[in-house]
Amino acid sequence: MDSVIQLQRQLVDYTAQLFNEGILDDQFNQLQQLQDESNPDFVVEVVTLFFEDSERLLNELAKALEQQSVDYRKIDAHVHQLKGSSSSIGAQRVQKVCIAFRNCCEDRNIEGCQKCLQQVKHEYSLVKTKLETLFKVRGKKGKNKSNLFRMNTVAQATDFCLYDRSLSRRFWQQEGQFLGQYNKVKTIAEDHSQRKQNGILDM
Amino acid sequence: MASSSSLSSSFSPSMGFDFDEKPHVLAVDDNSIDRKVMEKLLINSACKVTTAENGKMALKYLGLADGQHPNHSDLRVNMIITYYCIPGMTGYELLKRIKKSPTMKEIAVVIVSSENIPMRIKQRLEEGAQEFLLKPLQPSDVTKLRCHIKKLKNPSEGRLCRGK
Repeated sequence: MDSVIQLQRQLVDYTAQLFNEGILDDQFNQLQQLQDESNPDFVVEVVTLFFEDSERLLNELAKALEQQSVDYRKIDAHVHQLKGSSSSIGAQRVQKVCIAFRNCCEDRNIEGCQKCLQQVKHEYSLVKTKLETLFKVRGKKGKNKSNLFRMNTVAQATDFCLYDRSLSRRFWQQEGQFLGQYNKVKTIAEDHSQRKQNGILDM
Repeated sequence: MASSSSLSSSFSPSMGFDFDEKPHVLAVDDNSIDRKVMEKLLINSACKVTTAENGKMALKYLGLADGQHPNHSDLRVNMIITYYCIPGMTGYELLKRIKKSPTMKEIAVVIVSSENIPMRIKQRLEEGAQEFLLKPLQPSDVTKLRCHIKKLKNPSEGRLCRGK
């Protein structure tokens, strides 16, 4: 059971870090909330789509900026798309750079645009790496791997713990730094379970 | 009222829909990620969903494209949700086309935009949009939409058309 706890802990830590660094925002949580048994790979599918779409757009942007006569409208359209999809999956930093990028397009500022392209590539690469790692941790084989795979929020991870309350208490209390968070997270997790039990859609 | 069903429904019977009478929503967005998310949001709210990537495809599906003749059919669409900034035909233009159609004008059209421009929002609502929502869509937005669908009594009919 300890290895399960370890992995769980890793997952919780890692996800929290991504939120703290502003790499992901609450919209990512919303995506996770949408996932259910009827489509257990929903988040992975959406994120994969995001990767494919973003890479296409970044290529188009690079090409467009290399043209003799730069088509700012076209560039703006691509950035608009990228802003939209990054916003939908919660890739906050990518979205922010896209906003700046659109301003540069409006100003027809070629250097600004080139700088923004570099920045957005960097932020995209960062979020891609982080998300790929996140899915690797989630996909790791463990005793209860099907539950582990679905534990992608702090609340859900603790929910799993709550199936065995003694485990949960020991888990959180052993980690002194989490002690303060324990009650807060426990409330979230219990609320989550309660709503599930009442058959209320988690909407 | 919904008849009892042995199949597990993901919504409570008090919603007023039978398992077989799920509201049918046409979701229009040129962004594939947003289409997927919108689709899941709606499916989780017990709707049937058809997606289209632009206004032209949406009109074709509804049988309103140029050259099409709306026919007797069993296509039932309860609501159309469309993104505003789609190249080629904006959500606004789509709204206008739908409102011009004698067969489809009663369908609720909801516009979704990533930009919060109050003037634009007000105008679109005045011109017949049922609701104007901001991206990214939240589950609470979908709950709001379901209330709108509940109020509609007769879904409009149009041409049966396969393909998204």
